[in-house]
Amino acid sequence: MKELLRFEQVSYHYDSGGQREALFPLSVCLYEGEKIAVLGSNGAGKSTFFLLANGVLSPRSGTILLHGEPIGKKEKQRMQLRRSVGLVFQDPDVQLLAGTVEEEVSFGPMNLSLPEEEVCRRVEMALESLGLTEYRNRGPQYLSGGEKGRVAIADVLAMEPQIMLLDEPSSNLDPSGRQLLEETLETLHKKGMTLVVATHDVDFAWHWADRVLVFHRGRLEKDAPPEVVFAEEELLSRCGLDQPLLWKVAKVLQIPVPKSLEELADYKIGRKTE
Amino acid sequence: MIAAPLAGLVFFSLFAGQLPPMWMEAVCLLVVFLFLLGGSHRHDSMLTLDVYARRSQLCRENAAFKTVGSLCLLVMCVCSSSPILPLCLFLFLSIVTVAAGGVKLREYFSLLGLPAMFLMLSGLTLLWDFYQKLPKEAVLFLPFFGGWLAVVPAAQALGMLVLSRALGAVSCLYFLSLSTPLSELLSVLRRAHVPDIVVELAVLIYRYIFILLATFRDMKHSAASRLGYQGLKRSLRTTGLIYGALLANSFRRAGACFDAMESRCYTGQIVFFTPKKQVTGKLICLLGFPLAGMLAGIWLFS
Repeated sequence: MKELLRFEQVSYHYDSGGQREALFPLSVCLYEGEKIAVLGSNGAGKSTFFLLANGVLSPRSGTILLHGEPIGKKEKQRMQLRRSVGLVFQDPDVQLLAGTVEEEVSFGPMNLSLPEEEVCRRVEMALESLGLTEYRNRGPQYLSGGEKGRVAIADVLAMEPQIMLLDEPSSNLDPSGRQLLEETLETLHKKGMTLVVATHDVDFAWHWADRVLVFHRGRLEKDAPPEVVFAEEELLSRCGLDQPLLWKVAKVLQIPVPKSLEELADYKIGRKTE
Repeated sequence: MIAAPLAGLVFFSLFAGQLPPMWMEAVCLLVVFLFLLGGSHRHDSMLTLDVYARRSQLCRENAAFKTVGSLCLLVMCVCSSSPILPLCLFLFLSIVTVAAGGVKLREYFSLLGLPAMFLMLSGLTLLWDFYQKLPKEAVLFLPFFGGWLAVVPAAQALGMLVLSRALGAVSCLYFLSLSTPLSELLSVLRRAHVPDIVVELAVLIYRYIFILLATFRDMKHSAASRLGYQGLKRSLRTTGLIYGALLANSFRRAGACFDAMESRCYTGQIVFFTPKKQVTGKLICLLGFPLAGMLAGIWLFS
């Protein structure tokens, strides 16, 4: 697998002080085509990690490397980082800016100073990938929460990044919105994009991710496949997390842990009849 | 509710001594009735303007042409020395906005209610003036603290002119803003070399006013649900607290929004991609006719 982004002993702290939301020396590497879930309670440093990876914040110490090249503090180099790494914010209202969906999605590509036809093509592609073509002339401020979230993803997709970071994308969604989001993520994964999703939803992390990063109080506590992470109950309870429901079910039924409900149904469960 | 009797009073002072009593009563009643019918504007109507614009049939037309056309009309309307021209313009543009644009008549009236209130108030101060001695030509007068409040024909003529000019100007601006979404207007401004800082401020204000309003509404509701508005004293306190929190909220939000823009490679200039729209024959007719009419009118009356 090709290495895309590497953090080497990167640390950050906010000027307002306090241990919360700061990041202690962190070393991690993201590869092409990965599906990564970032778990951790509120204030564990997930958002700081994302802002650093996207180049909005620059590290107090340590180095961030993109394709093996170190990124300095110069604006031009950070711009390179923002081109390759897209960040979808948790609250779409923070991100949405323009009067129509079409213009909104064009903001990123226009900033990349691409020729007009290329901007057009990318906007078209992003709208189509997220099923937003019929909303193109609507004002983003009049859309529902789930639709706003999709526009926020389209915004970043139009910039054609190699890595997409999503900060708790499902936190404001209803169940059908979540379903749609998972389908969207699958589409993006098929395009070969590396996806990093911060979430509180351990069930989602279990069936979706192939790698899990656990943050706690600004430290990366664990970086492993989900099978390993969710087996460590002590780690989970220390970091304020919980085992996925399917793990609990498997424990009760004493069967190997299934990945999905369908898989669970495949096990012949000797039902008790009273 | 205040607007309707106010409008009645203004129109009464405007036509007193100029029309037969029967006619005057009819005009005043008609005005009061119109105000009661459509004048009740809602407070979010400033925001609905943009919704109507997007829905309008004229939204597909070229924005630059619409802007330049209606600005020319506006200038001519304000320069006109007779009240008839602006009134004709008002009628014509209202018909265009409603019939060709597809804005509902009721909605149009309701939107007019907002500037009408200001118009009526300024009309009142234009018409009534304070005199130490009662002027001979006064058509209406009231004793007032040892002097007189009176309406004289000269003030009536001036009031008529100012009111009609203002009405015409409002119809020009409504024609533009009810057919052109703000985002297109801003890109026209940019092409007209209006300084970037002005245009960008407008973009941001336009965007965040929605968020600010939504936050304000939520906070108000949550305060009301905790009985924050019981009694005058408590209401005042709650309102103060909400405004304070709103300020703090805005600061936090502004930071987050700036981060979000930076993360999409913002380099100090907000640019969107706006599809080009052709100038059509329909639009040339719709704007060319009143432009020619106004020019001819100004020439005739001068």
